[in-house]
Amino acid sequence: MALDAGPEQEDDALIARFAAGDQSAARMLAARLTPGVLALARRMLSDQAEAEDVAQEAMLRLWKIAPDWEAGRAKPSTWLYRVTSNLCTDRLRRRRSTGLDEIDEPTDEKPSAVDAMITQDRAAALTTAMSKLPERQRLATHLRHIDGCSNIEIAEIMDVSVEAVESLTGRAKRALASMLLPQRDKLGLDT
Amino acid sequence: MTHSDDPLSQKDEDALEAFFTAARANEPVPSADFLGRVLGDAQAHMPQPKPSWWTRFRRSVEPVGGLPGMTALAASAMFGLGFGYAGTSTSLDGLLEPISSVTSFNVDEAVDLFSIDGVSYDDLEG
Repeated sequence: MALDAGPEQEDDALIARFAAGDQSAARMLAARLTPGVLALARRMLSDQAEAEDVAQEAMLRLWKIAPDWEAGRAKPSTWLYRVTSNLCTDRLRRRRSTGLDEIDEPTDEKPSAVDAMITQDRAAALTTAMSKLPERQRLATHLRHIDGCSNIEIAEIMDVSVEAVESLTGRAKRALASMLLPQRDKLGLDT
Repeated sequence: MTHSDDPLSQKDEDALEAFFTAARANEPVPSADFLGRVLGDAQAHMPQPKPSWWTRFRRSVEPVGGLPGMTALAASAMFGLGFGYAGTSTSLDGLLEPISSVTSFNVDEAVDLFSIDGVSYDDLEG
């Protein structure tokens, strides 16, 4: 899912309207930006409640920075993804330090079932496989292949080079292939 | 099994893409409760609309007595400017001429100015 449907200038304009006290601009910004932020947080944290907390915090930072937002300097979506990924990294670090990384398995995905819709099964299988990827590979893969960001945008979000992004997504895809492709029969894919 | 550095075959790429497509179609939709919290934050941090230039001007002159004070200050400044300008184009001599022309001062004449018919200054003095 793309983070927003319209041009970035529209997000810039909405931020400016919000900064001028327009409540309807907040509703439109939330509708446009929140789904992508929440999806990224959920992909990274594999926990709906934590993902909502992170997405809410990321949006809160957008509300706070709105009066000082410089249109055209950074894409609002890129800025938000960067904030979100940093917040997720902090949470994952805390999990590791408190030994809670075992909850990495997704808890809110419906388990695969023979009679479940096949796309749901594939999505669930991918979610499970991606949860086993290293954190940065998971982030880059979500942004590239699920959200549809360009490698340049991902490099900006992750503060790495484009080559590093290509390397991360390449390794992630090979790892995902080794986990998922053996299941292609079960998931309705031709062998 | 693929070697760690080998690129994926087109067939494997297509198979993986089917998983990504399914994931995109199953992205979570934010709940109404969650969106309500996000919008609650937005409302709490909604910047106040910027006051007009006139309001900002009125607030800026409050320390000097508001608009009446500012008007008086401006009038005084204008008068001072005008007075100063007049002083530079003429000479102070012109302004002081009526004073400098007084060469002598007779006290008796001055007392006569205050005299009332039939009553002398001495009478008033007791």
